[in-house]
Amino acid sequence: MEKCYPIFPNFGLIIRLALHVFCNNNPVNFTDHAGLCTEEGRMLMPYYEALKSYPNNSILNDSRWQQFKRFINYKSYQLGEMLRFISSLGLGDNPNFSMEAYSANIKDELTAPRGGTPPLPGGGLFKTRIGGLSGKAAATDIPSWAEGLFPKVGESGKEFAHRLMRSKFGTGQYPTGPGSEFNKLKKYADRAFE
Amino acid sequence: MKSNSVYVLQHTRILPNGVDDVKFLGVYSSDVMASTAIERFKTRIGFSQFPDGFHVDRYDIDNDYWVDGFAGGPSEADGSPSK
Repeated sequence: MEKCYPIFPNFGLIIRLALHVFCNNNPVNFTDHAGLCTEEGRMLMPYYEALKSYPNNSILNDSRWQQFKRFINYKSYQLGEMLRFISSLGLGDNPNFSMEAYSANIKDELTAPRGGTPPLPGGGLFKTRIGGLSGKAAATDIPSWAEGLFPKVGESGKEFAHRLMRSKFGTGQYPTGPGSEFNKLKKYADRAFE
Repeated sequence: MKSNSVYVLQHTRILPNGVDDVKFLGVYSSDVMASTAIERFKTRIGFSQFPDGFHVDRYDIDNDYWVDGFAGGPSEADGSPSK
């Protein structure tokens, strides 16, 4: 039987433990004063987006959890952005959450040895950002609320933009012309990802 | 009663270097007026070569259509060094 983990109640804890593990055990006020957390961390965001698609109090299957775990074991990330993102999801700690009940399990997962073979970016769920592109070439001037979100494998820029815009504004309730948020997202997804 | 919406007509073409060339053509009171304008523009030099580049969006006035900040600061946008 596939092992499952309750994930949403643990979001806050996962983040905090991850910060300790990957930021030299010193996540100073949840900001990256030491510069230990790199831009690569933005690649963690798609996982949060994927997790977000699960209803509250649902479970994360073992396969998805393994992808998540492998990824955070390999990458560090920008703390401020992650926390802002998580905060924007409204997934604050569950007041009924018992740290003791989960900490051993999660801590073991998070403190597993790092290194080795990098995981597939996005665990195969999301496209890979093309390295070395200028901001202009990669069309990175996207809305800040969409920063860190990646297009899925097989998803066109148009589909990516619609997915995000629908999620934020509701179906069809947004302009799509030049200069619009939609258009910026579309270009970003088309140009910045393989 | 006066409408609270306008219809913005723009034209886009992709230049050989990959850059978007966007022209802001007009603001109209209805989609019919915007469509009429498109037919007018289509007969003109340049536009006639790119008849698929027209785009109309409806905007409600007194609304923000960029709801937050934007990512990709100056260093990313123009290649200048970060400060």
